[in-house]
Amino acid sequence: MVSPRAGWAQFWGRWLERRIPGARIKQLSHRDVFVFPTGRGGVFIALIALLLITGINYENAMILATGCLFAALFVLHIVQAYRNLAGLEIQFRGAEPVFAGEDLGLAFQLKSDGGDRYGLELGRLPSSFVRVDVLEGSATPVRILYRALQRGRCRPGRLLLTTAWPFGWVRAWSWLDLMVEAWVYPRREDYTLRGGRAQAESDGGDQVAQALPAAGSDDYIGLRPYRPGEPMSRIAWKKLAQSGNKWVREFADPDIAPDWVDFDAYGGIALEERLSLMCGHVCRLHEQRTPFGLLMPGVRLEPGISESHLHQCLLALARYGAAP
Amino acid sequence: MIFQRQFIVPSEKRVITRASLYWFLLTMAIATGLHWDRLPLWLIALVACLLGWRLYLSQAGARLLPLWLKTGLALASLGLFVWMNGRSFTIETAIGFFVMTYGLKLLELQSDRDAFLFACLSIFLIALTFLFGQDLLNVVLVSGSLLLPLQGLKTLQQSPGASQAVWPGLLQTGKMVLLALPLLLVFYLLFPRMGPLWSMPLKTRTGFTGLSDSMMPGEIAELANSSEQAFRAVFKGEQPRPVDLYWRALILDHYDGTTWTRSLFQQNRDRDIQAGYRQEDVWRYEILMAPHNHLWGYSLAGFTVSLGEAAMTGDQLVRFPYPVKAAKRYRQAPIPPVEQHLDARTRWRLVQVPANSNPVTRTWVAELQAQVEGERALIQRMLSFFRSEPFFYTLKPPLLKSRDRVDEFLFNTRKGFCEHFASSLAVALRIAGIPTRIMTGYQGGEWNEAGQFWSVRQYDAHAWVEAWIEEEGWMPVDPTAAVAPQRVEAGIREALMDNEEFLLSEPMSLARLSRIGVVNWLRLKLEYANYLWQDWVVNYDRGSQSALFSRWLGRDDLTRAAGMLAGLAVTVFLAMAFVSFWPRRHRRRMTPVERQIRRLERKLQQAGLVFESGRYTLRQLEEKASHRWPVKADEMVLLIRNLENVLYADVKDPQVLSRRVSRVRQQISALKLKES
Repeated sequence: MVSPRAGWAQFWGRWLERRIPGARIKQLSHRDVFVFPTGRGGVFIALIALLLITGINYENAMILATGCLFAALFVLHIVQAYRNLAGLEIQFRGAEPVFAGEDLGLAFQLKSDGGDRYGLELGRLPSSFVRVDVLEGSATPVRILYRALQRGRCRPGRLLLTTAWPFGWVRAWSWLDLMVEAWVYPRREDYTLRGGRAQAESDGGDQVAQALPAAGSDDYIGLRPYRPGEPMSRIAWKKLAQSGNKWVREFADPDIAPDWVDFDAYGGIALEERLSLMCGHVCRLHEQRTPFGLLMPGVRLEPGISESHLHQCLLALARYGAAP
Repeated sequence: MIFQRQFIVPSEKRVITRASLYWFLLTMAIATGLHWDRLPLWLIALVACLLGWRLYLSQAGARLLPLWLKTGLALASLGLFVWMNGRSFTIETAIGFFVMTYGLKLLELQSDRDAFLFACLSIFLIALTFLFGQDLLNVVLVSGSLLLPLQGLKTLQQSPGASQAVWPGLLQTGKMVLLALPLLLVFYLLFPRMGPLWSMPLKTRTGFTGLSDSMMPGEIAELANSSEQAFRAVFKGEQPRPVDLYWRALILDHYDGTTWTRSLFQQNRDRDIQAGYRQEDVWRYEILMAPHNHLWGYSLAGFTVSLGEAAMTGDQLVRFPYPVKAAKRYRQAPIPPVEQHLDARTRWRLVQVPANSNPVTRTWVAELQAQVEGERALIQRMLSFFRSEPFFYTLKPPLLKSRDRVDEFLFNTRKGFCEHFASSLAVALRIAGIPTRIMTGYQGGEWNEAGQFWSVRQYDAHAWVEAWIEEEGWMPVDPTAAVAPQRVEAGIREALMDNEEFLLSEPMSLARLSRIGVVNWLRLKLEYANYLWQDWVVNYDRGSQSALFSRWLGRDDLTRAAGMLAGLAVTVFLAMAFVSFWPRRHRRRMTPVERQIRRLERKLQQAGLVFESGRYTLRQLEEKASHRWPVKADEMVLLIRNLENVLYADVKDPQVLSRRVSRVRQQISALKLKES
């Protein structure tokens, strides 16, 4: 059973879907633009009425004319607000993926082929509205922020494009479905912050331990700056004596390096939590510049160390379970 | 989904930008400035302080006042206002109060919403300027000022990166207002005109100047100090002589020794309006009257109202059924003289003067009466007394201090203006037993050649005497004409032009400067423009509206008019909407090269090559033309190469580009193709 409120919203949603179907590039026409006076428009109508009554009661023709002038401006405002949107071309230009809980930066591009458009506002949630002017002939980029709360494919849905130009008495707006889509990585969670919880609560404690970055091999591959907490045995003492800085000798172990982040190694943890931990693991390995690969059901990413490899891995985590 | 509120932009609490704030401060300065002459000085100073303070705050980036200080300041201002104004409550004090609260609003002008309310208040305050005059000057001032709050509202909608240039912004706003003008005209013409919905409790204190219904000769040493318009008169046919223009307005019939007033009896007579005869097409002159908030109108002797809301009283005075607050128009037509009666009681009333006063005058009158027979002869003797004795016409007479004022004036000071002369003559006639009353109104007027009308101003105000002649009726007698004939022949402006005392309170008045030829020409033209404005626009009332409706609709019908208003508004709106829905044409301008290609195409077409413009590439064109005119083949090849050179070689330097284009242009011009 649907509540009347939800049913109403559903009804409008379907109606809007029919009236303004989704499109990647949208040129606004009269089908897409709604116009209605704002609350301030109401206050202004009251002012017009006050002027007219003053004009009548004091038999003052010019005050009456002033009232008429503002009534005429009000009518003109309806058309102007509409014209400010009509003919505008808007397009979704993509978004950089982010970790869940962060703000997605959705990039759009606005273009006007006839006349300058002023004071356009684009946004999704009240805090995200951005105001721009679009001048004739130039493509104007707009970036709005959208808080991505869940891992996976993020579809913010319809956006509001609106304007109350020039005087704020009448607002023209349109709900646009620009097929906005972005991928959201899992929330990054570092197991070290969570103490021994994984070990205490799960049977796969050993596996987790196994999945930890292993250190202590003999295959020396080079030096890198020291990070606090690393074993004393790895510090390159000669280097310290020479340069005064602490350097750490790095070794590559043929057995556990390249490292693997394995889905199965996190067994027994709820899925999102699991992906978050894997995400944390991936990021840490990347920060440590350890080559790593990713193993997921149906996905195997060969070890690598580059930025794009990191993004591929994170994307794989984000995509897990989502329809292709 | 359509009206989901939480998605509507939350601009209410947004702090306005500094540029917006400056527009609102400017708006406030101008809106207050428009009312400067009816605001007390302390209020103007207060507003100036508030403005400066707010400006300082925005410059220094300091925070607004805490609540207790704001409240305290508001209460203090309120207290000051009550203390300064007391209990009097007129339009002026109301505007003062409005300005004060409006100024205090500045203390908390911070958010978008405050700014919007502030703009609304400003618009109302600016529009109120019209309460004090609706002439062209005011219209220009007010419409200019109204651009400011509109511009302020616009800045609220601007995006952060928008240009803050002052003039382009104002120009844009001005264009919007211009676009609204046709619709304004429609609304103004069709908005139903009606009487006041309820009586307005607020009356103005100084808004209207003009005649008053009492006269205290000797106590007022200031007159003729306003060049404001009282009314305008348009005569049909032959123009009258200024000497004949005695515009009657009020009868003062009671004298208490210092002051002439209307007796209760006279007030009753003034209220007793007699239905005049109405005949629209018969008229001699038309009056367009400025509002004065009184009941009276103006008329020459022997005329009645033939069109308009006014009517005549038994004393042949024009009276309106209610105080005149808007410009009024009426027409008058001559009537044959009616037989006049004076009952015994009235006759007794009209010879009353305070007993035992003015003994010298009494002896003088008795001497005259002994010398002549009949009222007319007596009056003549008295006038010749005014003519022959050294009386002096001045607007700055000495004050009359003694109890016997007429004695003092006639035989001692002998300096005065119309009131002094009229009053002393009337007293003398009453002592002689001739029923006499004081008439006040206006005398003369200024002929405006451009507009073909007579313009009568406040400084034309005049007082004279009407004496009752047995068997004949009331006879007008003007002692001022005897003393200063130029006053009635050429007007007070001429009579006093070289005199410092004329229009003392208006040093820069155009009327005062009218000796300068250009100024006078300009003054008359302006007056004519104002007359047309008043006549056609301001005075568009119920009457003109119904005349217009009858002409358009066949009959005057409010519901039909309302329907028409709605219909017209919808039509205009649809027209505007249609223009908007019409796909915007691609109005890209052609580049110079493209224009040359078009020229070439047209030349080929004119020479007989049949093809559609833009159909062929340059190479195809070359081929077609060479085929058609083999002689010109080389020339064509060269031409097309040059065109390609401009079109495809990526030339950045505009000078090189324009040189190449001009070479192509010359080649195209040189191309001679024979039709074949």
